[in-house]
Amino acid sequence: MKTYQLPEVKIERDKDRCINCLVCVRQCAFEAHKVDDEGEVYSEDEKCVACQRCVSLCPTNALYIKDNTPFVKDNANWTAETQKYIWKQAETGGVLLTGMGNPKPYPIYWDHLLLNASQVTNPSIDPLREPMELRTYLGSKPDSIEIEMVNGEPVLKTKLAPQLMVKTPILFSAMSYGAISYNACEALARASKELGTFWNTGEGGLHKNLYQYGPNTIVQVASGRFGVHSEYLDAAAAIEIKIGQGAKPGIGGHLPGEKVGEAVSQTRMIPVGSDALSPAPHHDIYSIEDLSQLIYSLKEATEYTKPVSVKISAVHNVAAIASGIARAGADIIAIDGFRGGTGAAPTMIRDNVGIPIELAIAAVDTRLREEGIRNRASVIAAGGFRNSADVIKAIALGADAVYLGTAALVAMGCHVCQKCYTGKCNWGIATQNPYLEKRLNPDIAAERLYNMVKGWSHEIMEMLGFIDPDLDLKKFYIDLLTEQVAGFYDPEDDGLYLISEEQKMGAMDRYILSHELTHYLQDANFDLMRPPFHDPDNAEVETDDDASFAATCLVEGDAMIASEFWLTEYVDVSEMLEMQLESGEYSSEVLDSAPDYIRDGLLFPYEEGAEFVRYIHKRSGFASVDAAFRNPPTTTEQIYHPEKYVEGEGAVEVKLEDLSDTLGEGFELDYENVLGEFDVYELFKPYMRKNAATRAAEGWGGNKYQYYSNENGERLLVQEYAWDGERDAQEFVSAFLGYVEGRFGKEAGEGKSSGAWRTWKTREYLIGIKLDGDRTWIAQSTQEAPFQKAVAFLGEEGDAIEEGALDDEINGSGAETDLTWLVVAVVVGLLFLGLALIVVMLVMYRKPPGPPAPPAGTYGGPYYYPPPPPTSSVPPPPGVSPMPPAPAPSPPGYPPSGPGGEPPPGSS
Amino acid sequence: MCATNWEVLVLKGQKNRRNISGCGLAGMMSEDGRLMSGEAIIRAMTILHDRSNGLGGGFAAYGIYPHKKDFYALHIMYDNIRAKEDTDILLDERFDVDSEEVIPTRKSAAISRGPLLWRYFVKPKADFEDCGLCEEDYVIEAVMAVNSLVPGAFIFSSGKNMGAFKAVGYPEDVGRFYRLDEYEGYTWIGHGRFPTNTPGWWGGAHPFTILDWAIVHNGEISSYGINRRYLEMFGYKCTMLTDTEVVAYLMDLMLRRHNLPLEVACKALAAPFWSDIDRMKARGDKKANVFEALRMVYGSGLLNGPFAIIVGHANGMVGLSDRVKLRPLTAARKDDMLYIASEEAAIREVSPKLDVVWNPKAGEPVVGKLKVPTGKAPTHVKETVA
Repeated sequence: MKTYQLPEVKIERDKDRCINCLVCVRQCAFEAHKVDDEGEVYSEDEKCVACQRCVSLCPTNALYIKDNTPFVKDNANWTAETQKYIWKQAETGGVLLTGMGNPKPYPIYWDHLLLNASQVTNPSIDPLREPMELRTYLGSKPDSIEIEMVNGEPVLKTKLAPQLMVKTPILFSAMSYGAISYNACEALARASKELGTFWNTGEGGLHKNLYQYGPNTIVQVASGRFGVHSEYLDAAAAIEIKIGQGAKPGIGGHLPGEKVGEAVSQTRMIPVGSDALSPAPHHDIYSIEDLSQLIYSLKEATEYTKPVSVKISAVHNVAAIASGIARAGADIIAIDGFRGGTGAAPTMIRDNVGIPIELAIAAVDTRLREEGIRNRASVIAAGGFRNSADVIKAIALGADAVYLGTAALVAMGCHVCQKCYTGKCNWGIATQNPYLEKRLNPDIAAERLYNMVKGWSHEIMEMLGFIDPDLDLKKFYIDLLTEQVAGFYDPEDDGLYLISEEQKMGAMDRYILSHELTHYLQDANFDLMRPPFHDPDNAEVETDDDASFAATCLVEGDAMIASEFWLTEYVDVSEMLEMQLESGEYSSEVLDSAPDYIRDGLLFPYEEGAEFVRYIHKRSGFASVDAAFRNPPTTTEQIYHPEKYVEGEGAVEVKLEDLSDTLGEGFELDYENVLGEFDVYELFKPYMRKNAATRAAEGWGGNKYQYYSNENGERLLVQEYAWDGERDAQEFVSAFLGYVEGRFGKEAGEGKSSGAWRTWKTREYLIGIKLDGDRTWIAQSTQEAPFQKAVAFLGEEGDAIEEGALDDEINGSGAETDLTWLVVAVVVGLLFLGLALIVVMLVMYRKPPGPPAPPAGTYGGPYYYPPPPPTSSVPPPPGVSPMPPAPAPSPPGYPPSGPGGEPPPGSS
Repeated sequence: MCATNWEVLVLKGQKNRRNISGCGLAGMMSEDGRLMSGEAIIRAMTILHDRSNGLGGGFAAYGIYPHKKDFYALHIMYDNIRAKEDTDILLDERFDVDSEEVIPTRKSAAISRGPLLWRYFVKPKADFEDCGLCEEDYVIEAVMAVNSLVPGAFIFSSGKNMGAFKAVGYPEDVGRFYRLDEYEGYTWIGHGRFPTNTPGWWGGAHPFTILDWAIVHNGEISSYGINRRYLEMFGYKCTMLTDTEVVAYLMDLMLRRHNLPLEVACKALAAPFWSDIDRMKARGDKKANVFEALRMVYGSGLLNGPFAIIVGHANGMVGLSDRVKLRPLTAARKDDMLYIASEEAAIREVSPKLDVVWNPKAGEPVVGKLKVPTGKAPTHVKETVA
């Protein structure tokens, strides 16, 4: 039958820019881009879903997706969309399906609420003095608690119901495995763990590889009971009974058979390729008393150790339903408003059923309070939260916390094209096709989720009045050490201290003891009371922090691997489990809240130090480690790249002349020291991708910096870096440009070029950088005069500063970039090789196939990701013992099986 | 000016309007239970004159009706006679009224155009237990009913053997107006107000009372909204349009109805930070469980915003400041007397010689207790010695 549907978007390709690289052809699972016999790419507008994947990835920005809504005669009633829907149904006879949340222009009440701020008459809470705490406990609270006074101290007698503790009132909403890919689930799980919050499995069950994130997982028991078995319930932190969801109140979940591959089938416990249609009601819940029965069945099954939540759609009588649910024994009531998203839903239901979450929260909170039962259950609101202001408004209206669904997907790359139900998500999020799924890197996705929620949390605290970035360092360190120190060897008095909760030594304590004893042995054999390990008499004024840091890495790294060996020898499996449990209970709030430089600086000697020592040990046993103590590493460069230590490549000596006389004005040289590869990496890390920062720091050869100040508080910092080669120097410069832009933003602007220097003027500083061959110089001052003098002194000679040495790292968008370059290089290379026209024609005539049409139900499992590295527990500063890393459990194997959806040859 | 304004406000149902509370507090009690005249507290408040702006002043006194100490002394403001008539009907329904009279006052140039002031000595009707309430809750319900249902009537004191006295004016003028020098009590607290939002109205002055709880407050309770919604769940109605009101109800809820120990209840109002609780846990301090449970269950009762409060009750007096001490509070002792005030000068005015004087720490309560408690202690907690 001929279709009357017209394309709604127009793909515009700038022919001058298009280089026929075929990226768009390969990237589009909807096959909207094709290549013709002449090797030229063309597009089919009617296939485009406007997901923007091709636009994002086109290397020459040749593509633009334009709205091309067909013109129909002006008709408020019979819009193009209404006519389109009728054509679709006339042609297929089916139910209109769609994905994501209600897009219709119903009122968004968030946009009609403005927050009050305290000012003169109501004094605003001074953010420096009133810390803002976002910690929230979700669960049932009693009306009152019973306290007994024993010996003048209060003792709690009431036993509280189980609670979920979240560090910020934001959780990740239910999105089922099947609707979204395994990689997306993993990203959500990892991000929730980092953030101290929870994610929700939705009705897809819990993939075996994700059981390790159980403590941060809320599992769902939906009407289809997919994936529900006892281990599933045991693994979780809480259980949610899904009665409904905002996108489709009154009906159950819907996963098209195309998205049910082997792994989904195993996790959900349904046959491969079958549609997973959840029934509308739970067929054992036909009334509120039945719900009460199920709630208590789940509590019995989990021995009343986990909160049970009930999730409902926001509908007109949501207040009465919520009241019933609270009285039925639920610990948490989750309400999903009509903007809630979904992988698949009938369009008519999604667009016309349910009510806004704003009204629902207010109604539920009011009703529960009127009935005096508000504290029996916490209320979590869901459905289209777009930013932190929406979250605050929701909490002001009465919610205890908020679930994010669509926002989380958008953070991971979703562009809300609403085609999730096809399984062809080009961003790798709402698909089960392994070729597409691979595009979503869980490392990056988890990081993006983490960033988003951290950003929102900060904004919430800002709106509530949060602590200024000026940290009280002394108090902070005291807090940090109090939190982290577990053991301590003091070489000054040969004292060994162990800090423990228990009276007898458990496995964890013995492990820590083994670490500290190693320090003792190091001291006894090699004497740690001398530079570069310690400088007890201040005999040498510390002039090389990088060297002493590197020496610390050796000391701690050696103790780490020694105690690891001890662990494998002397600790049995049950003790290992005990240790793992114990380390899981340690809180590291202070460390988590530390500025990156402090946290990384604490962890580096233990993590990287251990890697360094492992390398040496592997090459020639402990004898070489002993030798290292007599000849310790002198730079963090050597720690990062142990081969350089072995080859004896140390720091290049950089000499800077004393500028005090030249500067005049009472300037004196206060301090002179070395910044190593670690410091350079840490300097750049907050302002660019980790890869970029790493590359910028690599190739470090040597450094000297000088810090001058005078009595008027004026300051000058001068640095010179030696690099291994010119390329390394250029990379550093490129990163430095990014750093200036990132840190000072528009204020700094492009900077001025004067001679070989590039200089910037910001509100606080004048900054300048110069490049000459394999050396770079940086000057930074609070005043014009000393800055100019320093610049003049360091000379005007140098190379031109070009940007872009690191641009692909700084702006890179992921794995695709490398592959694109590879593809382009291969094609161009072939052309340039000047092979016979035949070869060229062969290349041009061979049509690379598009992405595979998924054969029904024959997917291989998701890519099997090895267990994550052991939970890095948090070590205290040098000289003291760390917590041990929890040994990783090996997850039950879940190997991919069945024929994989192999990507065709020639494509990524 | 006050009465009519306030009636209109109440009628328009401006439930969310609330005034900021300032600014001068004083409290003094004899732990031996010695009776003192109100002259001293008036002198203390005079020193604190500049902390108010004349738009509100008030006092509460304990032990002032010894011959009627088994009756609830209801102090009521009436906008007009009609309000009194309606109230009388309500009171007759619920109480046996022993006597009623106009509250004696002195004519004063400084205090004028106020409402009618009456006091009643009442006992709940004999069959009150059939309502399923204890005596105190019964009385509270009656007070809430009058305050919310009868336009132009306002019960501003409802305790036994105690009374609150308040008006628009400087506290020293209010004290003389009510002839407080002629009363004798063992605990006196006083307050002077500096409101900025609305012109003062008599009902908006401090102290705020329920039963024998009387609260004077310096500061702003920015968590008023959630505190109010929380309390309304337990049947308290916030009708006084001032944030301080919630403190009185919170004390009644936690101490009388839920039997929390006093120090613990104070910790619910000015709760320890999570980081401190976590550290306590790490040290194995069992109190961490108490505070965690307290914050979880009474989270909506946490007072946000700067405050210094003095709470009076039948058996003593408590002074408390917020967790970061953003409002001043000084305490002192001399013999059996405990003094708490916004400034040391107010204390020295009354007692130039003191045994000890100190500034209480942020969030740490100052507690005065009658050596021989009258009636029920504010907490019924079983004290055990392990």
